[in-house]
Amino acid sequence: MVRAAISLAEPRTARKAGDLDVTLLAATLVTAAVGVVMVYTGSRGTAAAAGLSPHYFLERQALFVLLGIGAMAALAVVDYRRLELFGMVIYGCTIAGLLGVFVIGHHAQGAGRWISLGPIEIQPSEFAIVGLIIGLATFVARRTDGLTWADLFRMLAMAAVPMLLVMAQPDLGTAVIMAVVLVIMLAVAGLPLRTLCLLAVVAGLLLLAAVEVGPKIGLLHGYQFSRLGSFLEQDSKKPSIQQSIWNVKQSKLAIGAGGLHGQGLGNGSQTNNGYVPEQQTDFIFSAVGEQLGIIGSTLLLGLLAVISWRLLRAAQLARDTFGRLLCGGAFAFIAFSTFQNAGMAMGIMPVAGVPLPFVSYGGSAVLCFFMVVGITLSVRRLRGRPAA
Amino acid sequence: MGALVAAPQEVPYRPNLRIAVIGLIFLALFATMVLRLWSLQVLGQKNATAAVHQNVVRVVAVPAPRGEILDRNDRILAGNRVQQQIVLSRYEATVDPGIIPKVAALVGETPAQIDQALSDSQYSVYQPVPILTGAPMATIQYLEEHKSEFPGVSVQQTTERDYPLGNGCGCVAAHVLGYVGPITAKELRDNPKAGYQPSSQVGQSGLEEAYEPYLRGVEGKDELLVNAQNQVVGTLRRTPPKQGDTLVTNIDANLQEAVEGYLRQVIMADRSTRDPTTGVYPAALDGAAVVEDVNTGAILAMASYPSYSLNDWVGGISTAAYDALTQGCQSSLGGCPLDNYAIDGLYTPGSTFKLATATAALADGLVSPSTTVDDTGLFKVPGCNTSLAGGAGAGCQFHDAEASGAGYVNVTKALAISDDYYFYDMGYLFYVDQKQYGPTPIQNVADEYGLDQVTGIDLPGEAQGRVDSQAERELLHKEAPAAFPNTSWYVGDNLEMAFGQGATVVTPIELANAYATFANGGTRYQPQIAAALVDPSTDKVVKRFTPRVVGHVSIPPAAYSAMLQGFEGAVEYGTAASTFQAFAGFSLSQFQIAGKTGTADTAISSITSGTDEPNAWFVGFGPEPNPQYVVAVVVSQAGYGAQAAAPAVMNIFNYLVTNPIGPVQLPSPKNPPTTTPAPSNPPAGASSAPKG
Repeated sequence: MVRAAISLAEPRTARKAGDLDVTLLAATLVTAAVGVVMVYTGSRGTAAAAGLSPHYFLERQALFVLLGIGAMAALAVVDYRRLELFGMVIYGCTIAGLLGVFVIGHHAQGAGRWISLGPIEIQPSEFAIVGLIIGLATFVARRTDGLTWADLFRMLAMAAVPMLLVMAQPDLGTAVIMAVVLVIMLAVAGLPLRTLCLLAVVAGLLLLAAVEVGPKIGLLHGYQFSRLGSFLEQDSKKPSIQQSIWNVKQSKLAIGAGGLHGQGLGNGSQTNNGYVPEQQTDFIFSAVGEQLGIIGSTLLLGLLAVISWRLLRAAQLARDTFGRLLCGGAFAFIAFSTFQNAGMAMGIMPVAGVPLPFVSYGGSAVLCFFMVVGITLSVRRLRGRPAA
Repeated sequence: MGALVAAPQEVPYRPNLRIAVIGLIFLALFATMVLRLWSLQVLGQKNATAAVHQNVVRVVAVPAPRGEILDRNDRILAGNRVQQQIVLSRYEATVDPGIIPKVAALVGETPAQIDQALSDSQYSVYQPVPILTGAPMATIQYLEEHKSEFPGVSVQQTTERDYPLGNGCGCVAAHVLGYVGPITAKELRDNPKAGYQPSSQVGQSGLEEAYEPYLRGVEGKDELLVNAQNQVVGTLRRTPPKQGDTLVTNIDANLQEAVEGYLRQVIMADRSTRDPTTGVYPAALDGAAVVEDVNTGAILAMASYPSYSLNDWVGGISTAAYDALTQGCQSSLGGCPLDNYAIDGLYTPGSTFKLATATAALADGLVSPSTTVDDTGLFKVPGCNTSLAGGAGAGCQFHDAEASGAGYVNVTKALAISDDYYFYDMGYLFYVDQKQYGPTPIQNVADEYGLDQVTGIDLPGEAQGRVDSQAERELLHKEAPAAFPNTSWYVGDNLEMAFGQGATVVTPIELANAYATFANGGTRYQPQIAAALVDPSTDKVVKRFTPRVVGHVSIPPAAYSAMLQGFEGAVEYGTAASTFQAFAGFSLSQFQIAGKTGTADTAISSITSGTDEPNAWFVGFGPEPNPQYVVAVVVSQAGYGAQAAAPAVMNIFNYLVTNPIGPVQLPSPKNPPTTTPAPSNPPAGASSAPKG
């Protein structure tokens, strides 16, 4: 009775074990399609101003989505339990990728986040999140006798390494996503509530220390705190945070101007005239808000909520620890990215740029989001079946 | 260290509950976002929409062509000329700085000059910057043919002031018209509601200043769409400017040119004529001439010397040109080209003031027209105490300057030959009979003639004359105790005042208007240059300036005819007879002139060295018995009025006899207003940016 009540609702059609989660697949594909359109309308003005074809971002994003669908399909077909075999290797590779940024990194917007491989630019921090999810899930799955404090510290260390590396890029947003992924996965893994609370307190103290010490040892840059601060004082006149205040202000204006049903696709003047910075990536939600209004943006948030719900439901239904943790991590990744991205555009979250799942422009992010959905589809498909 | 999490098979930790709680937490987060969307998009939509509109729309003022200023015969005194202007987009110049040297070569300037123009804050940042105004047609054509080589460069049309008269010298009626220049910070501050921009051009003097509210027109508005980089990406709305009203004046352009010429001519003659008594050449620093319609107060011509060219101001006056006009002249000493001496020059009136003294003496019954005074050449103040009066400057004995020892003279002869002795006597009689006539009988009449008050002419910067009196002396003493040590009023002071000396000063327009008042029988009109304001698009009269009576002088008929005979006598046989009879191209019997000379010690010389030549006046009116015009000419420090000023008046009447002034003609439809076509080229920034 209790179990039934707390079990997340399940559509009748997906009851059968081993089914493909059509809802998840459909929601993902629709969201990605919306994303391609939004990337186009949000980028054509800036692309033209930069001397590029207005279709530049559209074409590339469409290609990324196709690649993402391919990756998703491949991972959905493959038995997710095979990942456990290479879990630590995958994790190690993504850490190596993060280190690579510092060796052959490519600076964009003052942050070295990219590795260029010929025409392809890879953002290892996105892959590091996937690597962390697989790594943590593998780690827990192999502790069949339960977790000790030592195990907990190992897991914290596993998360700390990529977090410190992305913060040094500096990429605060991804580090925050990793932290949330870690906490949710620990919770799903069954960490006692009081330990979780203790962790929260320690994390808070660490954050405080990072704020104080971080800039001095070059781990975090001053502007990141300016941005964090600007979220709390959106009417401040402090010159150091004017840029972030302006960005968020323009974003809020764009969303506000959307009103009930928006200015119509391709019509927003904020969007078309480039008033919101980074509008195809970090601030893409403002383009959605201006063009599609509260109806469109709520629908988009609804799609992402459905995806999140299906991921969490997959965690609930998974029969093995590995699968459950993979799905829990995927949920944390997508759900919190959504909240951070859209929340920043609305001015209720600090300015720390992360992509809006399936919608923001960017090959690495699109690929990673599709990959975690692909893994989840595999978990759903194979639940209850013996390992191959 | 004990197990933190038990093995799954030992104690099931109810993952479903946890996951459900996690789900609820995130549901709350999503709900928060929807609430936030509600607050932003539903509650905040109105404000956000307004702010967004402000973001992207920039309103740029489009200056209106100024209203034209016409003379009474529909001739353009100040018009507009359409100029081809080469402009450069700021945005293009930033994106492609290579264009700057190319443009510089095209218009023949240095790249540094172009850079300077680009950073000039006078121009709106949303509009292309003017690089060359009045570009030659060849350059325009070259530009059209090589458009692709000059990105961001385009051709616009603009209007500026044009002065077609005098072969475009910009010198005809310069003081009357006044110049147009960039608005000053103070003017901008003082007129917060007038809608001026920091780049606005406003009338800075003359009619341009006086009728600025009508002449300026209504600025047009371009509502431009700009992106976040401030690039203009399109035009939302365009409100064309409305040209200012046409100002029709009472000025007759031909007469004006003639008057200016005669004034210059007489001043040149004065400067080259040695004073026979002192042996020096007169300074003849400055002068003025006024021609007024005695029956309406309409100003038919007004000239001031030295003058300047209005063209210096077109397109902005250079510092060098401005310095040349203002340096080397102090307004207290005279000779400043920018001063309109006709209205702001204060000159001692000398004998021309006898108009007021004679009117007062006759109207108050102090004397009758037939009363005679025996001019013995030296007026000794009866019972004068030399020790009392001598130290005070005026003294007890007064010489007759022009008509010494003329014998018995009545008022008519006294005016004709400018007999000082007669007027000393009037001053004396009024002084001793203050009980009956009051302390200021002459001053009262002078006030009725308007000699101590501004005339109210429709030009800015009019100076106020002053008629000497004890009260005035006290005022002057308060202002400048060193220059005016004495505040007492002795009989000698009354004598000096009575014949137009002492501390009395008047402007040419005041004096002209006083004689016009006499000429028409005692009605004082406000002098007016404007005749009407006309809407240039419909030719409808917006405002008509009808004659305005501002005062009366009551002159008994017998007194009037006696004085008029005296003024006629001045021209026929008196002080100015030689000038008029020798040179007039007309017969006085056909065109009867009356007038009065004035030869006045300058205010400065009476205080300081006394070596300056006197100010020379002549004011004439006619034709009697139905006078139409009054003509007043003054030349400072030039000599005797009859020789140093009267020839100009005579020439002006010569002109008027052959070219009588007709009624004011309002513009006819054949004279369409100048309009500025909207620039055919889109804003230069639009070429590379997408349309909104």
